[in-house]
Amino acid sequence: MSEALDTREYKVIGSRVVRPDGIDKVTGRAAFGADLNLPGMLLGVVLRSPHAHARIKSIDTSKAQAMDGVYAVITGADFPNASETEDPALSANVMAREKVLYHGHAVAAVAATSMAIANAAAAAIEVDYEPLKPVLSLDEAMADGATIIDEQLRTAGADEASDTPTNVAQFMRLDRGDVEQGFAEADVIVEGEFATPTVHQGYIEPHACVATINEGGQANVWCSTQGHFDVRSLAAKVLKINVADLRVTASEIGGGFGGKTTIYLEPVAIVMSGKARRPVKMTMTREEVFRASGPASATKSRIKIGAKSDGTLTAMQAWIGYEAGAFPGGPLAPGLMCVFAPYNAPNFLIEGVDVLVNKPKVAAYRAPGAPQAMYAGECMMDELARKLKIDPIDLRILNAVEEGSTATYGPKFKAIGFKACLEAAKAHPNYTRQLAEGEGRGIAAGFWFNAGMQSSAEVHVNENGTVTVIEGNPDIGGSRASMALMAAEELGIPYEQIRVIVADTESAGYTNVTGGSRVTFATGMAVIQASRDIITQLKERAAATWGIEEELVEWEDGHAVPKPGVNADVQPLSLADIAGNAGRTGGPILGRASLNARGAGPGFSVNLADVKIDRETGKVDVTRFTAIQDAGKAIHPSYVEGQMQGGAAQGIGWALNEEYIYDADGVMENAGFLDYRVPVASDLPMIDTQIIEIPNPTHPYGVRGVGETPIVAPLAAVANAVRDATGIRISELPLSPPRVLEALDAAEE
Amino acid sequence: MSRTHVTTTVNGERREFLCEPQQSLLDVLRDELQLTGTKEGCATGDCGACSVMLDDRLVCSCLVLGVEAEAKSIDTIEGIATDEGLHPLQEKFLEHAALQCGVCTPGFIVAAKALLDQNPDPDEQQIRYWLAGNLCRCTGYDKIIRAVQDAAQTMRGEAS
Amino acid sequence: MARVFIPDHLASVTDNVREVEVMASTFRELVQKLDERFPGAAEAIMGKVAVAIDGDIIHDPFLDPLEADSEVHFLHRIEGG
Repeated sequence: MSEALDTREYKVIGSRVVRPDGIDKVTGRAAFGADLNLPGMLLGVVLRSPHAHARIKSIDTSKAQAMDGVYAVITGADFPNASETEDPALSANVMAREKVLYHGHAVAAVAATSMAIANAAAAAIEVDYEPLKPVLSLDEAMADGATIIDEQLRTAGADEASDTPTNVAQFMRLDRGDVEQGFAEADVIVEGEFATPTVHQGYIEPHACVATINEGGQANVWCSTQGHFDVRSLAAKVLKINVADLRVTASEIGGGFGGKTTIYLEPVAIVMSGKARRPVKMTMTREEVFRASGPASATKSRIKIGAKSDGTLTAMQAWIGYEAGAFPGGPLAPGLMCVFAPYNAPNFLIEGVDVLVNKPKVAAYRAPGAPQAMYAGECMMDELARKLKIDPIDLRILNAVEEGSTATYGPKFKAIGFKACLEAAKAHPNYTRQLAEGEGRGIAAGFWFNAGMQSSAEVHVNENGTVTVIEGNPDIGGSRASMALMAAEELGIPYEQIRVIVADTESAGYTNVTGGSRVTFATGMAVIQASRDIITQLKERAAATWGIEEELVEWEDGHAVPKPGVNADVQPLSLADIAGNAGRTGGPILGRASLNARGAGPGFSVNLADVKIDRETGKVDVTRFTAIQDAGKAIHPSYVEGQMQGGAAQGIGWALNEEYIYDADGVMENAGFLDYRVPVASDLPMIDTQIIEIPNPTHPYGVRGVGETPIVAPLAAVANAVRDATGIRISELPLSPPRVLEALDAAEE
Repeated sequence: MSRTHVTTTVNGERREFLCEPQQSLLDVLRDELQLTGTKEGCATGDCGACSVMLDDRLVCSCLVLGVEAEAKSIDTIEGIATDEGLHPLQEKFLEHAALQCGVCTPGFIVAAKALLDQNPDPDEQQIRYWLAGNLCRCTGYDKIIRAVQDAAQTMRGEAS
Repeated sequence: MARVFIPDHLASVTDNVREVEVMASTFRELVQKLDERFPGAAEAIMGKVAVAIDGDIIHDPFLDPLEADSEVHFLHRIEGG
């Protein structure tokens, strides 16, 4: 489904209204995942593997079972065979079977009347392990004679099929033209190798759920998720139950960034609720979130770029390896598709692999795969600009894709805002501001596809003319406000007269996940269409009231009026007038829409970072940061800016501090916010934003997704600024004080 | 396990509860007193989502034992709005879109109120360092800092 | 005739033919015709890859109309975070 672009002047779109769920969130009333308590509810905990790689020889739960207050003790044996489910990897990740594949992998679970009892019972479960050698890096996993994590695994997409067990789950290639010829034509060639660590989304709310299931097998789950319809389908697969028997209600969600698009606790809680015949609440500790949810892939990459002396690109080549964690499924495809997406490259060869290691199975993290890939690509574009002695923005403008350009991943771009972002960056006062002594400046570009997919919306007109919008995307960052703004715009009524409900899986039409930056675009389109459905009905009701033909009525500023020139002696009817009279004109007025949104407009950004480096400690401070991004049309500019600022902060954290630190046995050594250091308020400056609006021609208001693109450019922007300040290219993230200090010391020797 | 009887004042009201010795004040507030506005983000004192006032001192309630609340006064997010309406910090957080997911917001508001109660005119750096114990992963802090600055101005009676 | 571009990961299905022209008025018809020419193409495509038709990425293509001069690209499915 796509829509013709509207060109009208907007009345409420683009205004900075207060979000409808705001008061509950500033007063503590809003109910998040862990905030629901039910009568008779038990508390559940998971027993997790102390080994990164081991065979489970036996599990003895008898002591735990015998403890007072313990109502359920379960292991993998209480679940359907993983291999007989539709998603064996998901099932085996939720609860280990024959092998544990990472430190923290779930092995058993207990539900009891208190956390103290549940923890004591979990500790009383005896698991006999046969430890195996863990595989902890891409290089180890791909080495000849590597320990094999999954004997059944063969490389998908390999040029030549092989029946040899491997840790390489997938090979992928994108190519065009003749890359060797392109390098031969180049006047200048730059090459580099890069590495990025495992990082975590770092949402502040740990995973949490409450599950109940009755004797008839009908289950209810309340949980913190980015997509309750996905929880329903995924949990139904793991448990081999009917989706109709599982009702999932999304709580308010305390951050997700992609990490809450899958399931961990929900099937476990359902199984224990069945055994105990009581509600079961489960929450992860922060340590469990780090060890056992889905972080983002560590990567290694090699980039080579060739250009003419005027800067025109002749060839681009990349190899990127993604760590998938313990099961296949790292963000290889999007990473490879993004790495050179902003540029016109006549010849390119982009290859990569998805590789198993004994770490948690990775999950999506905001533009999954893109930050790692474009960190490497944009660092090399910076090196190219230096070598050519061309301004880095000019180099990008010279080679930038625009409408009609063919993307590296295939199709031609429609209207996009990359050049507009680059030109805005060039003109921005922060680009020409004098740097202080010791400061450096970096620039980088970001790109993300954005997603469309399936959404539904209903619009109900209440008897006083107020309106309720019912939709199925958890509100992770103000989407109730943007839905209400779009409904208000269409219906021509004040924003305040609209309420937005995020309904459960039995009360809203099917809707894909709050992810892929798709909610304002796709669900917004459904809300617009459902509102238009209402308007059609309102015109029919007005026509019936007036006794004239429907075609003679139009909807204007929240009122039905006769079309200009129609000779009818009637007064305009407001939405409230028509709603109050609905019983006489056909009953309640409901509008609805469901769609599979196509043509999500790609998002481009340009970031400027200024940094200052402490020579004694190697600490990098970001002194100024500017995020410029094409939003298509900003429905609520404050929340668009918020996405840009929040993505910048996460990207700065990724660039400077965040990393999973493992010991030789594969145990994460920094599984807490003290040692896994996300940026705090005193680490950051104000983050300047500039929203560019190049309308996406497939959305009625021109909306593009904005949520993911912001995290893509900051890694390279900061790394390029550090390069500028120090004269040294440090090619591994994070640029933490010890690494920077070591590089500075080495350069002085 | 034997439970201890604790008498305390929460948001100005006398409250009593039974508490296991290992239960944190955060657990007690959430599980025994049903005050779930105070959030658990880490339970190790690193994220500030559980910030409350304990006898007018800002604490992470996950690092205080429930039994330590005996004869003390606790103020939580639920007590910040009054009969007159929202606190200026609450108003300004909404106006500035200083929350996205909202789970860190109660902690930020409690912590920011503690700052403004002792320093009505903090500069940006003072706000950033005071709030350095409260993690927000959504906003990049920019709009939070601006909301606190604006609330401080309002509370000082200056037009914003 | 719609121009259909075959990416590397589907090239084994099309005997390394990387660009074909197909007369079809919908995506479904296009896949049927591809499958007639390259047996196994339908199985490799339907429900497994996304498609871009004239620049618009579509996740579950089926009934989507094609123009006489449409450009069709097959892509890995991308959902995002």
